[in-house]
Amino acid sequence: MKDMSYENALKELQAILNDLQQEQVSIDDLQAKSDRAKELLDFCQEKLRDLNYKNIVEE
Amino acid sequence: MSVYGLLELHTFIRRVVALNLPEPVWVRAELVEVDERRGHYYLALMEKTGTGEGVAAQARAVLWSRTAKRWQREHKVLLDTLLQAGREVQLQVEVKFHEHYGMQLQVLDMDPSYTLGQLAQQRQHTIDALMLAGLMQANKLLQLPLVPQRLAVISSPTAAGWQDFTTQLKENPYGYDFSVDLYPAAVQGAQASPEIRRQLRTIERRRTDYDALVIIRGGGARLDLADFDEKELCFAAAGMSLPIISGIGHETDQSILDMLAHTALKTPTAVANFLIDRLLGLDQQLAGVAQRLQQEQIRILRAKSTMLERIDEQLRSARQQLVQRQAWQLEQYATQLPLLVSQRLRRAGEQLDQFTRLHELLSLPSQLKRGFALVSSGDKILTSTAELAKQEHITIHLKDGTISAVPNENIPEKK
Repeated sequence: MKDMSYENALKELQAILNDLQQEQVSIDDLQAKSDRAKELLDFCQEKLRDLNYKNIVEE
Repeated sequence: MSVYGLLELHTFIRRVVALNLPEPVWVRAELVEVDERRGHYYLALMEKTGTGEGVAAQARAVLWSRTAKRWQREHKVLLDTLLQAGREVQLQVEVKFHEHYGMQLQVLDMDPSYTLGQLAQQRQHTIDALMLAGLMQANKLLQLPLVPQRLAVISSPTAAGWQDFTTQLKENPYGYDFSVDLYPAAVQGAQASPEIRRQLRTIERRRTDYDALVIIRGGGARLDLADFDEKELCFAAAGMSLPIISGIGHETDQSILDMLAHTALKTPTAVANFLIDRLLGLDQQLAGVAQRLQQEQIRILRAKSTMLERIDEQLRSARQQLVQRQAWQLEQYATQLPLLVSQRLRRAGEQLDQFTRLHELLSLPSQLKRGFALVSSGDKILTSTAELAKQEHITIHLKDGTISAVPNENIPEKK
């Protein structure tokens, strides 16, 4: 997960959300997919926070 | 026939001359030769023929030292400058005939204005001729180098003007270097024109060694200036390809050489100062350019740095925007995710409920409750009359129990 790019993380997250919207996620997978989506979201938000922090420090 | 001795004849001529020319007379002539000895001036006079080629008349004249001194006191004009070979003169003379020396004119007075007038006329002719030849402006049109440092100088090496010139150049306070070559020549009198012209030719041959030609001498009287009005000299100077700077020392009048020179100045010192000032001017101009260059550099650097700052700002704000957009999207996703998950769960629950209801609807007790009956024989459920007709005993199931029955034979067969 650490080596993952923001771009790839976002793509995977969007795919999961899309699947959920289309109801293509089986109930068996639902928990796993939901957990994965949460994980990706956290990861992306962390990256953004990092960027924001650096932006402020540089200024 | 009577024969006379020579002395007798000359005595007779002397008497005739003295009787017929008792008063002094004014006479005009051209000076051919001037010889000054111990204050006495011995002159050779002549008048040219009408064509100007031959000699129509000539005579000897003398100006005694005593007369000369008195005349100079009264007129305040130097005789040396008036009495020069080639000049037209108007003289008041006493005609003397001496038995031993022959005829001689004794000069009592002179009209300097006649000589000056003649000179003025000659001068005008020279100016007209130069203009006609297009030479009056030729030297002025030459380009004097921005830094005239290599100088050919025509001067008399013994003149005070030459000393003034070199001293002034050498001791300039800015330390500018000048290379000065002296081309010695007489700068006044009859020798001036041929000597200067010879040096002009020499300098013209070495033209590429020099930036300018300087002609200088010390001060002089009005007549002296006529040396530089001389026609051949002026033509030679006007034909030079080096710009001429003159400093031939006259306060009030200009010679023709001054008129045609690139730059005419009054004294040798003025020429030196002109050259020094020209270098100084360029020096200052260069300093000014250097300063402007520096200012321009600073201005450009400032402009560039302002531009960079602006770009940096734009970059930051673009980055900020991008990050914000992403953050906003992630927030959307974060709210969407639980909604979508619970939606999915609800839909699955609804499906299960449907199945349960369907299952209940389709179950036997619920069918029997609704008034349907099930007919069976043993384990077998009978669903058609044909099957029923074959049975002897059947069981009918109802919502509250079962009963046994015998099928009626009269049941018509379905066709």
